[in-house]
Amino acid sequence: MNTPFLESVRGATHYSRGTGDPYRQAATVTTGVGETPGTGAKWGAVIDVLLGARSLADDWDGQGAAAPPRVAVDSALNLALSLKSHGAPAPTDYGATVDGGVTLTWHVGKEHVVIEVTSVLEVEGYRWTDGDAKAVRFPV
Amino acid sequence: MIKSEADPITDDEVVLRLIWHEFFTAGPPARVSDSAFTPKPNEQGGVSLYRASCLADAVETLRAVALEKRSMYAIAALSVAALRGLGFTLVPDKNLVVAGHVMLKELTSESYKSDKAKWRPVLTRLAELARDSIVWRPDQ
Repeated sequence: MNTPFLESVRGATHYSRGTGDPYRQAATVTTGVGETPGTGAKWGAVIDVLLGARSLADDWDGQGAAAPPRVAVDSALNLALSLKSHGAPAPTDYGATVDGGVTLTWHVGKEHVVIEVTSVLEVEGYRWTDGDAKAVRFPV
Repeated sequence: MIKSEADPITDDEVVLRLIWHEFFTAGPPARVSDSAFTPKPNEQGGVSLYRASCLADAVETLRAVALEKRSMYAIAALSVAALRGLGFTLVPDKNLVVAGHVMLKELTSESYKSDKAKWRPVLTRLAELARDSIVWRPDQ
């Protein structure tokens, strides 16, 4: 049986639990899909994609996608490297978004976490479980 | 028989979403990124879709994309009934390039930005629907 994803922080914000570590939310992602946390190969692919995102220009998808500011991509890169160093499993989805942001996303069973660096250089976290009407936003 | 754009959109129809190749993994297991449904800055009236019933072939939708990038798209066919089940309204929007253009009225770039906590789980659900209904793959 899978260990619940982010069980340790469900229902409370990062700060309300007093974790003290901005990357704790994702670092506590458990490995219900049989993956070893922080394995290099998967994180390597994440880093490669994020490095590629640094050179995107507007309309990179031929349909009007906004390019992320390079500083946003670099912020996401730093976040990814920190998560990796904290032993978090690599995200299941990652890269530039069409609205000029960069995301790292974990979908593990019914549990979901998204960390997004937006085009206005905010870092936002969202988590939810299947069936939830809304995600809970948490500070990163 | 091809429907007229003026015909009502019925629950038994499917609508087509163009999905950037980096947002699609053939798998197995197949995967579609939530980013495939994030509204682009130019999707102010709602996320763009095309009624399959107004087209002779799903690949006609690729005409909406810059020529050099058409081979970089997958196409997903989503059930109108399923989209309405998620609470969406499909609104016709005349497009001179590809027939049958409709928009998901509620999922605009502005509404998404203003309430990501609401939309994040919905994007995941849309991606799950698309994952199971890919009708065209990049470079096919």
